[in-house]
This record gives sequence, C-alpha cells and structure tokens, in this order.
Amino acid sequence: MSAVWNWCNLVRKEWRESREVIIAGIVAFWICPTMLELFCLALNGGHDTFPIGWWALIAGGWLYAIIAGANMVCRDWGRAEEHFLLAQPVSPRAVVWAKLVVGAVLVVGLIAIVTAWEIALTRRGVFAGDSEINWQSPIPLVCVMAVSYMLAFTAAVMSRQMLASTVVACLVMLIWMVAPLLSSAMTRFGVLIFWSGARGSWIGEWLIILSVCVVIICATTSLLYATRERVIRLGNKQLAWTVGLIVLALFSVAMTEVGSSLQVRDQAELFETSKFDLGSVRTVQRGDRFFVTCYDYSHEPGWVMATFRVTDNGRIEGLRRFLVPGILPRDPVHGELLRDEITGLAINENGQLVVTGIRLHVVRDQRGNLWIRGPGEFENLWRATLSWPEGGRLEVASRAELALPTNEHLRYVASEFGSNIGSLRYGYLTASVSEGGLPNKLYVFDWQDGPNPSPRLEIPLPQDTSSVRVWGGKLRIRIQSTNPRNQDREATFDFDQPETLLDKRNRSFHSPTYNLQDVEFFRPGGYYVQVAERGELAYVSDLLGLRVARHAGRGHWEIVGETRAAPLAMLFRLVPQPKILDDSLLVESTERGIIAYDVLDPSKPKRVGFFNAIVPRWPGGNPVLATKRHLVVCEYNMITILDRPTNAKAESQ
Amino acid sequence: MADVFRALLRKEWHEQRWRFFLGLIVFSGLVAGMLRAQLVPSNEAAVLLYGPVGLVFVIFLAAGPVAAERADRTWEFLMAQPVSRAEVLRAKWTMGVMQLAVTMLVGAVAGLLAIWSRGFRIMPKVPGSSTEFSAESAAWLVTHPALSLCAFAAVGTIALVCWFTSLFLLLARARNGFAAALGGVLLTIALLLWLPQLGSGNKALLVVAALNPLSPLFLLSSWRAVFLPALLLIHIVLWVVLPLRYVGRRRIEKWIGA
Repeated sequence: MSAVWNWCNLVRKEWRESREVIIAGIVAFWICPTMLELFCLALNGGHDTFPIGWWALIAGGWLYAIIAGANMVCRDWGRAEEHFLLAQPVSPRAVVWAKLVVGAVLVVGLIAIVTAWEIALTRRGVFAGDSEINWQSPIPLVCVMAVSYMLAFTAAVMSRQMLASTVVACLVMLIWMVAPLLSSAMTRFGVLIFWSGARGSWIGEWLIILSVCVVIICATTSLLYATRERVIRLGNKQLAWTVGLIVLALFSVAMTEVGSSLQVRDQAELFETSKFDLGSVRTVQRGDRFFVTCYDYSHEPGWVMATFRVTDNGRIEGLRRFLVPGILPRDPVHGELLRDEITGLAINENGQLVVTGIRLHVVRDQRGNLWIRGPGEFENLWRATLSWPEGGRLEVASRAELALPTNEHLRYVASEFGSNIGSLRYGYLTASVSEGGLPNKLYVFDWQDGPNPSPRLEIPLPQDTSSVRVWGGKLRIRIQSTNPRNQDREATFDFDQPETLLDKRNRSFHSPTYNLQDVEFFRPGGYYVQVAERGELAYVSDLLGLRVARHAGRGHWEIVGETRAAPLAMLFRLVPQPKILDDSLLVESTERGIIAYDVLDPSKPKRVGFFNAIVPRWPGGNPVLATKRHLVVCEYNMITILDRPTNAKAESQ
Repeated sequence: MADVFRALLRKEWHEQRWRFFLGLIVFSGLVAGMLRAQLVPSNEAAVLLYGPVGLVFVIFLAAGPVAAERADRTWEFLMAQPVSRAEVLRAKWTMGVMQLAVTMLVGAVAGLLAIWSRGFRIMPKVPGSSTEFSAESAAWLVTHPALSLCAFAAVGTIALVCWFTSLFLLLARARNGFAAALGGVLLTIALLLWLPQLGSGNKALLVVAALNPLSPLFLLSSWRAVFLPALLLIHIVLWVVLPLRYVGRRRIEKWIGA
C-alpha cells in the first residue's frame, strides 16, 4: 500500500513539474490554432475552416513529443535532484515508470484534445464544414508521437543528456521518415506515405505493429536501464559525426535510387539550331547507324535529316545533316499552298530509308494563322525511298504518290501516334459516303505498284464500323455497339497481310484488347497504365513499377513477374512508356528520365539503370534506341550515348 | 611574435580538426553524390552545394572556436597568456578560413572526379527553360561542366569566406556552442531572406548585392557576371579586410567581451 502511495506521489510530482510542457503544448497546438481557426470562421462567409491545429500537430507534434520525452527525464534525472529523489523510499524503476506514464498521458491527452476540438469544430458544431478528419485519423499521429516520445525518453534515461537524447530521437525519426521512401520493401512502415493517401489498406496495420513494438522495447529498456548508474555520455563530437554520417548515408542511398547510373560516352547536338518542331522528330536505326529527321524553323526552313554512327567505344562519328530532297516546304509565305508532313521513317529490307508522309492543303489567313483546308482531310499520301551512302549525299531513289479513288471521302488510317507508317509495303485508306461519316470501305495500296499505285484491294467494312486504326502493331477495325450498355467490339489483323481481311471468317470481333488491359492491369496508386507487347508477353508500366504479364487466353492475362519502384523513384516515373528494345532490355521513357530493365527472365524483371534525361513524349519518335553495347538517347536537340546496362548487355551477348 | 601565432594556430588545429574532417567528408560526399547522380545540371548543383550546404558548413565552423572556449571556461585562461585578444581571434579566423578553403577545394576535386566517373554530360537546350536562357547568357556553364564547377568553387569559396569572417566575429560573443549555432542560423536566414526584401529596383539591387556576401554565387549564371570581379573585390574589402583590420580596436574587443 505504501509503495502504491509513494508511486502516486511521484506521479503528482511529475505532473506538477510538467506544467510548462503542458502549457507549451496546449498553447502551440490548441489555443493559437483555435484562435486562428475562429478568426477564419469569422471572416469566411461559408462558415467553414481549415483544421490548423490538426496540421500543426502533424507537422510539429513529433518534435514536441521528443522534447517532452527528453525533458521529462533530464529535468532532474542525472542532476543533483536525482540523488535527492533516490534518497526517498522509492526505487529508481518506480521514478522512471512514473515519468513514463505522466509523459505518455500528456502526449496522448494533447492529441485527444486537439482531435476532439477539430472534429467538434468541423463536423459536429454549428460551423460544420467538409473535413476529412474522423476518429481513425489520429491513429498514425498517435503512432508517430508515441514512438518519438518513447525514443527520446529511452535515450534520455540512457544518456541523462537533453541535447543528446533529442538529437538521437530526431535522427531515428528522420530515418523512419526517409527509409520507406527509399525502398519499396519498407513502404508498409512509411508514415509520410500513409498521410499522402498513396497506400493500401494493409499499410496501417504494419505501422501500428511497428509502433507497438518500438514502444514496448523502449519502455522495457528504460525500466531496465533505470537502475544502472553507468550512463552512455555522448559528446558534441560524437553527436556531430553521427548526424553527419547518417545524413550522408541517407543522401547516398537516395541518389543511388534516383540518380543517373548509366555512363555517358559521348554527346552531340543533332541540329545547328534549337528552333525545330519537337513533334516532327522521327528516328530510325540501321545497325550502328542512326537517322533522325525533323522540321527546322531556322533561317532555311525545311525537313532536315541527320545521320551518325556509334562506334564500339561509344563515340559519335560521321554526324552529317542534309535537307530532305523532294519535299514541299511547310509554311506558305502567303495565300494557299500544298505542304508535306513526314509522318513515318523506316528502313526497308535493302537498307534504304523509307519516308512516308501526307500532303496537306494549307491556307494562311489575313491574321497570319495557318489552317489546314478541310478538318482532318489530306490531299494525298506519298512515300519516298532515300539512299544515303557513307560519305555521300542524301538522294531520292524512288517516289510514289497514291492514285486516289475519285468521288470518295477518304481518310488515312492513322497509328496511335498519328503516323501512317503502319506497314512498310501497304498503305490503307478508309472511305465514307459522306464527309465525316462512318467508314464503309477500306482501300489497300501496295507501295511497290509503281510511282502512282492504285488500290490493290477494296474491302467493304462491316456495318457500324466506327474506326480503322493501327495500334500495338495490328490493324484494328472497331464496330460501335448499337446498345449503349454493350462495349464496342474489335477485330485485329496483320497489316502486312491485307488479304486476310477479305475472308469474313477471319473477322472475329471481341472486346478491344487494350481496353481489357487497361481494366485488368489497373491497380490503386498505379494511375496511367502503359503496355508494350511482345509475343505472348505484355510489359505493363504504371506509377508503382513494371509488371510482366502472360496471355492466358480469351483476353485474360496473368502476372508472371514484377519489380516495384521505391516511393522516391516514383517522382521520376511520370507516365512511363515501356519500349522493348530486344530480348533482354526494356526501357521506360518518362518525362523525367529513362529507366532500363533487364527482362531476359520475364519472371524476374530487374531495374538495371536510370538516366535523368529530359525525354519529351514524341508523337511518333523513339527517344531511346540501342546497339549491342550502347543506348542512344534523343533529348530535344541533343543526342547522348550511354553504356548499355551491364546485366542486359552480358546476357544479350 | 610569429612563434606565438604559430603556436596559436597549432592549438586551433588540435581543437578544431574534428570539425574540419567531418565537414570535409560530408561536404565532399554531398558534392560527389549530387554531381555523380546528375539529377540537375552541374551548374545548378554547384549553386545548391556552394550556397545552402556551404552556408551550413560556415555556421558549423564559425560557431565553434570562441564559443567552445567560453563554454569550457578556457577563454579566460587563454586571455591570461601573453597574447592579445586580437591575435587569438586572428589565429582562430585563419584556421577557420584555411579549413573552409581546403574543404571547398577538396569538394571541387571530388565533384570533378564524380563528373568524370559518369562522363561529362551537357544538358540539352530545352525551349523556354533555364538551359536555353543560359545558352544565350552564359553558355559555357552548360557546355563546360568541369570549368563551371571550378568557377563556382572559386567564387563560392570567396563568398563563403566573406560570410565566415562576419559570422565568426559576430558569434564570438556567444557563451556556448548551442547559442552560437542558433545565432548563426538566424543571422544567415536574415541575410538570405530578409536582406533581399529591402527594396526593388536597380539601385536597391546594387545595395543588396554589395551587402550580401553570397550574391556573387548567384551572379555567376546571369548576364551580370561581367560585374563579378568588381563585386568580389568590394566584398573582400567590406567583409574581410575591414573587419580584420579593426578587430584589434578597443570598441570591437569590448563588444566581443572578455
């Protein structure tokens, strides 16, 4: 009975001595925010307010808990008062236990007061506003503040130093905040991720489990250490070294996660000016020789093509530029004009460059604005085969323009990037009865049929055909559903074998596969799903990482491999576009860089490199190309040669 | 007299070398890591490292020498020796400047090695971005990353030495390391955030540029870089030569306190 009475007296003493800490907490996190909130309420016509106290507690509560925990011990423990206290009929463990309980009540009480006030103000009161705070919201806050308090308290019991225990607790909290951002495996313990909203339902449980474990371990350590007279003294030097080295270590890990890891071998500016149309850039490669074309706005406007070779040691050699011959200029000075737009660039089986384009009818109005006559219409499709021998000039080897059927409303079949390159051999046009009407006929042209090829095939399209397009390497005919509840259906064909379109037995219409992929591969927090297909495998990129899926039949896919991105790396994964470069290498190009994956084993895709490039989303270009030893990255006007990631290179060779 | 000064320097080295080595390792590590990661162009990384990170290091160095003596009660003992207060302060300042300069130099070498290890990279000229702007004003910063790092290191070191001198003399009044560090942080914040708010317009900007010892660092990447030599000269005279010349005056000694 006497021991309990003594312990109660200790609690009363600690409570009295904690008055400054209590007042500071209440003033900082309740009274001042409350005054500000009421001020906002008075001024705001909508009579709703921002929960200032709540956010102040989230931002600074952990620091308050650390200072409270360290102060609770160091205000008498380790000073002359310690000996006076221990001279009383109480054990050291009872003293520490009393301090621990009073401090915990103080911290939890502060959270309870602030939360209750905020909920009352924003939900229950006369000024009810739209607030996301509910009774579950304080759970992560309680976890963070409890862990902060316990860490500082334990460090203070072990060191008896106010500054040292505060710094140590702050460092541990810094690691706890930052580590889950650096590793996807630690994401479940992340506090910042919990509050950011990018979380699954299971993350909260791990946070609570971790917090309870830390609290139990710290409380046990404090009680065990209370009886020891030898304390761990931390001098300023040790503390400074610890802080410095931990900051350096965290910085190194962060830079390893998001920094560029691919070696730059060489760089060159492709064009002499930066005044070029980014949307017009097209790239293609033939072995170790690369070709890039774009529209140059500089003093001599026109379509320019550049070529260069990448040597085995990664040097750029033989960079040359020429105006592409035989192409009409783009901008009329005044009046009306026909102009050519290059929409596709490829290499044929003879190693010649194949340039495909559209001829448009452009009108410049009185204000100087350019208009294309007839929305979405075109004058003709053309294709030029160019030869560019080593050291020679760029010359037109052959040129063809389609002989278009008359009295038809024609549209060219566009790919996903608006290009008409689809097939190297065939060109596709759709015809409709009226301007802007649904297509009812598909014309197939063979570019090898002389300089003015006529339609090789004339294929009637099914009724209600809404569109014909090239996507994912296939020609896709889509039929719109007459019933709004049903999905549109789609049939796919190999665009290099147009004869298959004639046989109606080949036309099996089903739900569009890319819509299925979007639905099937979507996951919370992943946002944009981008897919690259190769054979039976689909490589799915989203914000959370790269997944490899295998076609399981009937439009269904099973995930066979995955690599998750660390939260910090997600900042550099804005709408990643996957592109399979060869059997072993896949590259995701984003607006903030490129990420290389070794995909030789589809069940274990591995992130093998990152380069912080400024890669814009080119409508029809490939910003990243590869040789056996190197990657070639096109950043606006700059071409950069990088070492191919080691793992992928070794496997491919 | 020179022997006394050398002895004071030796004493300072023994007392402050841990700060030097810690700062050297952390600063060089940050410079090398940042430049090797190539998250931002090397000239922007250099501004970040020789700006905010350098300032933290300056506070770390300036807060230590005198405040630690006062906290350990050795200041009075030192003053009882046959050396003047000005000599002690000059010895402490010299050691601090040497440590700062060597750290900046080693940091620059580490940065160059880091850039070299990943290949010297030039950022593309993105239309409408700072790289395009620098293409018109100071293109060499982007096209010559090694040279730009050396230039930033040189200008940054001079700017940081200027601020170190002022901070060192101001913080000499502090009674302990904690107060000195807090004072250093507050004064630096005041310099960086409040001083630029003094006014707008060309005259005000000139005054602010002359008063702010860190302004050369930000001037390097703009077209006003032509004024840089004159500005550096003004800063060295204003922030280093004058304070050191008058450090022995009775009024300053009185302000610093015994």
